[in-house]
Amino acid sequence: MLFNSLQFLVFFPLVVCVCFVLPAKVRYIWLLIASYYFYMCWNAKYALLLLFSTLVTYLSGLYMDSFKDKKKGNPTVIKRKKMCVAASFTLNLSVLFFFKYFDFAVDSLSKVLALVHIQLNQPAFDVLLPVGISFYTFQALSYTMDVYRGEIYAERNFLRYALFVSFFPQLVAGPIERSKNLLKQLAVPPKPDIDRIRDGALLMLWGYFLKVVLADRIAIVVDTIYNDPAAFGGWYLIVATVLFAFQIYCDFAGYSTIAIGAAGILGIDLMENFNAPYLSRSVGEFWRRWHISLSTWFRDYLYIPLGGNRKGKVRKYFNLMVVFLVSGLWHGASWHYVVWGGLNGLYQVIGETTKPVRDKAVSVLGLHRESLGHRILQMFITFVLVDFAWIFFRANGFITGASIIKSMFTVHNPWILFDGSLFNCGLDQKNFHLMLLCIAALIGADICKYCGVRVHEVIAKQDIWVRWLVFSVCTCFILLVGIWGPGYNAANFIYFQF
Amino acid sequence: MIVALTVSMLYGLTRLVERKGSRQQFADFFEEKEDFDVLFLGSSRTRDGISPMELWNDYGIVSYDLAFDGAILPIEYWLLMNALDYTSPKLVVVDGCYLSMEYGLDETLGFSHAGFDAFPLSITKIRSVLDLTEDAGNRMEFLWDFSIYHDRWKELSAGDFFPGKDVCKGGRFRVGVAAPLSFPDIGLAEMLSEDTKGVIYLKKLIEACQERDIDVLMTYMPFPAGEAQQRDANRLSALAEEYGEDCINFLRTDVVNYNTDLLDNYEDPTWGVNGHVNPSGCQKVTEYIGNYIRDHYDIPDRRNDAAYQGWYDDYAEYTNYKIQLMNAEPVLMNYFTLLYDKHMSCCLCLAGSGIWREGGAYCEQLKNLGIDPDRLFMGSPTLVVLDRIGGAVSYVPPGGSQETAFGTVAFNMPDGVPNIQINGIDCLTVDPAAAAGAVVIDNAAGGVATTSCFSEAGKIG
Repeated sequence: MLFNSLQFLVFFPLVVCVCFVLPAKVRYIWLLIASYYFYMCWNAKYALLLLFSTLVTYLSGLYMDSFKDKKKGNPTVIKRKKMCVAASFTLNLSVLFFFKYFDFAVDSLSKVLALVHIQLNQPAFDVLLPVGISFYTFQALSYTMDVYRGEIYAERNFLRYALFVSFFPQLVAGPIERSKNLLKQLAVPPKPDIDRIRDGALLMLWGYFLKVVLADRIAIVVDTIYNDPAAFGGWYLIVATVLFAFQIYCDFAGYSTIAIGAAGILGIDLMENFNAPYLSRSVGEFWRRWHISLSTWFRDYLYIPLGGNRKGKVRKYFNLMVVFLVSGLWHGASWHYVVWGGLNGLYQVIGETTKPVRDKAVSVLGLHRESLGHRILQMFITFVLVDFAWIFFRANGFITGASIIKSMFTVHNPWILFDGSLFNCGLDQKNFHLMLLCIAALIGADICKYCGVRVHEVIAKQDIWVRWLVFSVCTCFILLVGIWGPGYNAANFIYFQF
Repeated sequence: MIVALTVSMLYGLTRLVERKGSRQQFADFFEEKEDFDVLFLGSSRTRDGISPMELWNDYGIVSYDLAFDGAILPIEYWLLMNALDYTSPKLVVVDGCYLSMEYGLDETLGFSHAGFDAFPLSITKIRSVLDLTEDAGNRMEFLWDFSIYHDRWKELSAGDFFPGKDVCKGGRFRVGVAAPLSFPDIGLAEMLSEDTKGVIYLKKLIEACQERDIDVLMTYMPFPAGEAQQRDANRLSALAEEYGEDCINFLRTDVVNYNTDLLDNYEDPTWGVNGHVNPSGCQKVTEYIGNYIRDHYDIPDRRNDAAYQGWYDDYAEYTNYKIQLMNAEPVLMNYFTLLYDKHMSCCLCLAGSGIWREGGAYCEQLKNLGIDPDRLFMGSPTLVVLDRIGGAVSYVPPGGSQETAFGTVAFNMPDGVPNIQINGIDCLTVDPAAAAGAVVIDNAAGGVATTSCFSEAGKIG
């Protein structure tokens, strides 16, 4: 069930209404039923995988919790807890591997073997990738780790724990919540709060704007150009690549914002997932502002266990590269995702290693790092670097990505920016202009956010009639100019595939 | 409150962005407080072929033409069901066009909106859509057409803000003249044998009407039908007989002249070649059906019914519409089809040229108007007076005059330029380059309705 489907627009209000009618102590059961229904609308059988992951991590939590009265530092206890964590990770990651990476691994292996003239009979597993498997698996595993580290007690109520793993607003595309934050909220459900409902509804509206008005509109241009890079070379690809940066941002941030808003209406606070990422002044900062829930997951459960920056610079760079290569692989079972992740890691390693030189240059040239011009330059360079890496993310393969880059630098057709040729890339002139206008609005909202001004909070402070008017006008605007309806296929959110 | 505000805004937007054709066509249907006695159902052939306003003026029949382009029988059945929520007719005239088609809503999405958009959401409308399609997207676009029309935000024009309405009670005139076509005649024996979707829904329609004590008259509109369409028409006659209802198979009549009364030239035989009548054909078909209804059904003459006096104003608007069509028409051949109108008289100045004679391009059109080309003067212009009040056709030479029911018509050529006067008033000085000049008189109003001059290349004044 997609957030931008009619089905969801019926489902969600129904869930909210029933939720608020039910006694607080059984509300989580209703939300669990709703969550499983939400997931099963896509594929009922795959709910078993969700249940499996839930069971494994739930039992591992209980098992580790059974040692809580034992003396700390007991080697036997530590060993058993470690084995428990290993078992939980192995079982969960095995499922993930089988459904997401098996074909990729076999394919890659057969290509390597082919280099030494060994033929591998590839077994064909044409299995459907379970929606959101990477998200709920990581969320469930974070619980195992948190219990192992003693940061939380194991949840004894299985149904409540099952809701933690399957909570529908963030089930299939995040944010990847932490047990510390979400479980306790599920344990003590808040009363219906009109302010929360209003804020949640405004957030959902903003999310729908990002998805339906912007992401799906931009996608038309990007898909037209990227699907036929031979016909659309040079500046077409440059434009499409810049637009893709906004498409994926609007798509993913749109989903996250709808999820956060929907959860907020239900009285649950989810963590922020995006914070004006394209206003970052370095790639490192970008990753602190982009997909925050995943970045912090990798930081807490991979980078730090690997040693983080505590074991010297070389090890730190190694750890960084590992994290970003794994992050690339997490996004998709294909080498071009690995290249994308690697590039982002490499940017940061290069950034770290060249920092003394850059500091010296700034000092010698007498530049002011905090001046507006310098900051804008940093943001621009960061955007270019990040966007360059997006090429490998969007392209259908590494070779295609490389050929797109080649075309960008070898085909010279800047006039297409001025002669109306861009209006033949799927969007007519009015739609194209609307898209640019909406991107400007997005940038404006992000600048406000960057400066500490939250637009939805500003709206919430207005008189009631202003709030109503804003809500109604925005709803109508999204419905009017959004890309939806029978003429279009309800576009999947890009991050569903991960 | 916020929901009400949002819904109100959405309603306004829905009305703004929707295509206006359906609402314009059916505006008078919903505005009429009294019942319609006759409803016409069918496709574009019926919409082009029936003029309810002529039926009103000539017979006092209160009718509405619910036909729309591309309509197929399953949609027509449900259109009638929807319409019956608003009116109680005594007679339903349904055209058997596309009887053999297995098409449903899913195959005619683009067309079918014309039959649905104007109808407010109701139980019947929901039942219609649920019956006609299983596709969720298609259901949504018919139950809430904003879902399909919202993308029109970029093409909004003045007409969307001030849409106006049609003045023909659902009918219309489409002007044009098709090149004559030959067509086969398979006789009456061969007929469609399968119970297609079209047949099934026609049966449902007849049964639904009979349950409500509504008479059904089946028609098959005139056009050069192919073999398959003739088989449809024959099956239609058989169905009428089976159900004890009447049928007019225009393929078996000579009501229209296929050389002068048809327009279009669709290449696609699925929809019929030269499948529609032009204004001349419409007048003939309407008159035939009007006479048939008067003679075979107990449909009241409402012209003296106080409840329907507003129809006289509607008829005046309709007359203006016909005059506007004449004013706007740039092609002489098409203009002649508009002159075939018993409520309009005409003084037609025809240049002394051979183009009117037998074998010329316009000969058939002149004959269609009742003009004998052989009586036109060679070498000098002729004023042909079509007096549709007095029922006479006169041929006036330059310098001559003619008494008519609408006054004395004088035809002079001062300085060699033809001039037409009625009751001593200059009505038209015909452009010397013109092949024809016309002064059209509205019989009811008694005055000059419009004047035009044409060369063979087109309108010149």
